[in-house]
Amino acid sequence: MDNFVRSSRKKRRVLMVDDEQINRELLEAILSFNYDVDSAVNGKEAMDMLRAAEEPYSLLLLDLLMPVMSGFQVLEACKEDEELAKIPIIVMTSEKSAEVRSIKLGADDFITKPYRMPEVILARCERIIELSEERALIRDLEKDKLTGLYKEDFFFAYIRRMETNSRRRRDAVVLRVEGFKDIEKTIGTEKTNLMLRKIADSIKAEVSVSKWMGCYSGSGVFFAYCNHRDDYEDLIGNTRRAVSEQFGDFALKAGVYEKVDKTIDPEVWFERAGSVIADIAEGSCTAKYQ
Amino acid sequence: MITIEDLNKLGANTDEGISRCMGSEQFYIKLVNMIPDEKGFVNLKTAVAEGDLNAAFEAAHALKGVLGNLSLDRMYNKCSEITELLRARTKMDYTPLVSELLSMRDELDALRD
Repeated sequence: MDNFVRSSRKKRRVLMVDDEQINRELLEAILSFNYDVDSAVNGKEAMDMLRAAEEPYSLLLLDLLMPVMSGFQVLEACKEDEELAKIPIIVMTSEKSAEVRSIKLGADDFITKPYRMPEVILARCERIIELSEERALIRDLEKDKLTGLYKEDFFFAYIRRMETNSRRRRDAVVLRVEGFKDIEKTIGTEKTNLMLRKIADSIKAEVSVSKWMGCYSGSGVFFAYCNHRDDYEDLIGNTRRAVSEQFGDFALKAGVYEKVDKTIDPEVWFERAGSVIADIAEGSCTAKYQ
Repeated sequence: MITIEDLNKLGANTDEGISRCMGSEQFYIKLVNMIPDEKGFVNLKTAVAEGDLNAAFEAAHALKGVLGNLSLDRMYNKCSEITELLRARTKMDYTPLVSELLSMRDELDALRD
């Protein structure tokens, strides 16, 4: 089985960027041992190649001081791009101060100049690529494919990790599309999925502004974990109205467990939040767990 | 034609340089042959003549990198000395130091014939 996997695996492709031809030739000779290698002479050419690549590069090796567009500018540009941000980057530098700055800008590792021995360079590249591929696998597994929100297991695992040392006051919110099954029967699965995505997008918009974490639990139920706010009526109401414009009127209700007790399990927070949805008063769309 | 023996006499650490070239002496010599044509030498000389210390630093820094990768230690050390002075933008006459570096380049260039 292992031999089959090894023989069927394509050689990975890496991109290296350096304005000095000697450095490019040397590094290409080293990297070709394990990879298919493309090269660029400056940051702009590198960005063009990264964007045009049919399949994402497995690794970017980046000199820092270059004309036209420097390695630092490439780091910043990659960080801003959702897809390019997934490509691991090793910077190549002789400057100690540049090492720290480049790591802070998102580089995964650095190779000092003059280059270390080829075996060291190849081992570092391999390790960084492995770590990146493991991260990519988790990214694929952690999100619900329909909504792009976390799956429940990952959602609770990340909350636990996030809250290990946090004192922030946070709320657990359960949002429920009322009569989900009937809606699905009426408008069909495809339209229902679009509707769920739109609700998810609204939650994601709050993620970027208010640092929510969102999860799709299934059957029209969403979880959101966020910094405490006093009132959710407007937020839920606005979400419902925005989605109704496109898909017809429906009821979106939310139960809120405010300032969660962090001594109990996160799953219990959301059980409590969900338990009050049935008690929502006429004319309201939210209720709080007391 | 440049030989390993010539390079050792010029202060290169050829064992290290060849190791970096995946153990290929031929590949190492090929890259060393490219050094005299490195535009960094001209850029450094011009920048120093024009008093442009920023451009001079960039040229010296880039040159230092390639010289180090090929373990041309004597040239690398001279270039490092220049680079560090330029990094601090030290106000001085760089011409003598740059001339020394260029002489070393010329020595290497002469071996190519």
